[in-house]
Amino acid sequence: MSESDPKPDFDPARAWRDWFVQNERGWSEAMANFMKKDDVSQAMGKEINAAVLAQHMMSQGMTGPMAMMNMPTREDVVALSERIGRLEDAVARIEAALTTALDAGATKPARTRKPPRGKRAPE
Amino acid sequence: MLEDMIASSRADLAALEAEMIAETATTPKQLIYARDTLRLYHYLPQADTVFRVPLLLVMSPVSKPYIFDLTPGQSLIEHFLQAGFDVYLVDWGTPRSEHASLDVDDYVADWIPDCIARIQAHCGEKDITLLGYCLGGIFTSLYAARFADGPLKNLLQIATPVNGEGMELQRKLVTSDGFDPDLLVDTYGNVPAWMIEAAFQFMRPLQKTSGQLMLLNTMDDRENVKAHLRITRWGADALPFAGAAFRTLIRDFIIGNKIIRGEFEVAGKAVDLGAIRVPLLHLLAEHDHVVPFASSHDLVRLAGSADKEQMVIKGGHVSLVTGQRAVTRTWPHLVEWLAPRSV
Repeated sequence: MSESDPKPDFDPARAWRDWFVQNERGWSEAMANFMKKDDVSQAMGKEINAAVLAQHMMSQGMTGPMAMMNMPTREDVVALSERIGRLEDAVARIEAALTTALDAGATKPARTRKPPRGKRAPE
Repeated sequence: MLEDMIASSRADLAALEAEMIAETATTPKQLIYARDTLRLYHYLPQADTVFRVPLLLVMSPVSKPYIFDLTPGQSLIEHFLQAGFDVYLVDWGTPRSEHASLDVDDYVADWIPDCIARIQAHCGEKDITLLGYCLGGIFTSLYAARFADGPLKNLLQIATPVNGEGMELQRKLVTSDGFDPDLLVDTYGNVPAWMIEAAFQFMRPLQKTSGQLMLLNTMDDRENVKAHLRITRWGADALPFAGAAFRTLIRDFIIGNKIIRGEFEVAGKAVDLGAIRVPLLHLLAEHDHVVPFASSHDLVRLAGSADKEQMVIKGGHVSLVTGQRAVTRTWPHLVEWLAPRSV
């Protein structure tokens, strides 16, 4: 390097980020190994169960108040989304039928392609 | 002043995201069959002649299949098309509450054979190659073993778990007498998408933070930022898991380890991986945290194929199907393997 070349600025934040990225896999593995311990995985499993039940109870409990406020519940939004999903399915069936009908007479490439010379499958 | 800067940054990010979405899954395709949430696509050939045997890509039901067609130059589908393959893709779609009873049987013994029949009618060929990725690989392996006298010509597997004991973290969670999968399915019907995404993060807890820090280091490179956002968007775009299929895989695969024991039932019959006789290539990653090496490396050993190969790359779950190394090394090997077996 010549004397006239500017010295790159040292960026401690960038160096810290590089250090974190380089070590992440090892730390993640250590955390995953910790989660494999019986008591830890059991506690985590119970937390998940509790969260599922709490959310279920919460959504049931909110149905009445939401109706009183004339607001849609999560179930109402999900039901609407599912109706849209069924409409999308119907449109897709029509699109597929039309594509197949229009494609019937189209010229297709010959199915005669060969692998490069010397490349053969084992017998 | 600060408000203007924040608004400007938000606008830049929104523009970048819009640009990135417009560049995703752009390989020209046609929808040739739809049934419930299932969509079967045919990609328009990009060569004058194609190999005789068509190729069907089968994605995991909990991830969107655009990872196979991420963006031009980073698309496995585009790579196959340019190499002269006739490519089809099954997209399982997003299950709704009415699909909570969809089971592994439905995917393996009904939807896959149905797609194959549609492809046979569409292209006029009887034989077919299946490519299964992740959970989609479980479905294609089970199909290959259960319908060994069917039209399957080749089996290309990517990160396919077959040994439930190798899925250590998931197995520990469901056998530790804490987590109750039945409670989850009975409460929600289908396993919600946010839980699937959380489960992926749980397997490598600091990866997301690491990705964000790495992004800060490369903020000046617009293409690099987009490449990063593409992958993180796909990772956050998980799909709900059909309740019955989730319950079966937890009970019979993760806990019972029935696939490797030849006891996993499909359409009323126990499936033995030794019944797979077609040429088989299994591609797996050494540092795959989603499908650990210990859960996937037995497939080739157990398959009854005379022509079988296992290819292990350095890297993780996603680097098998995208990224620079996949483009320059992995995909060319897939094409080199498949081409002579597709005539």
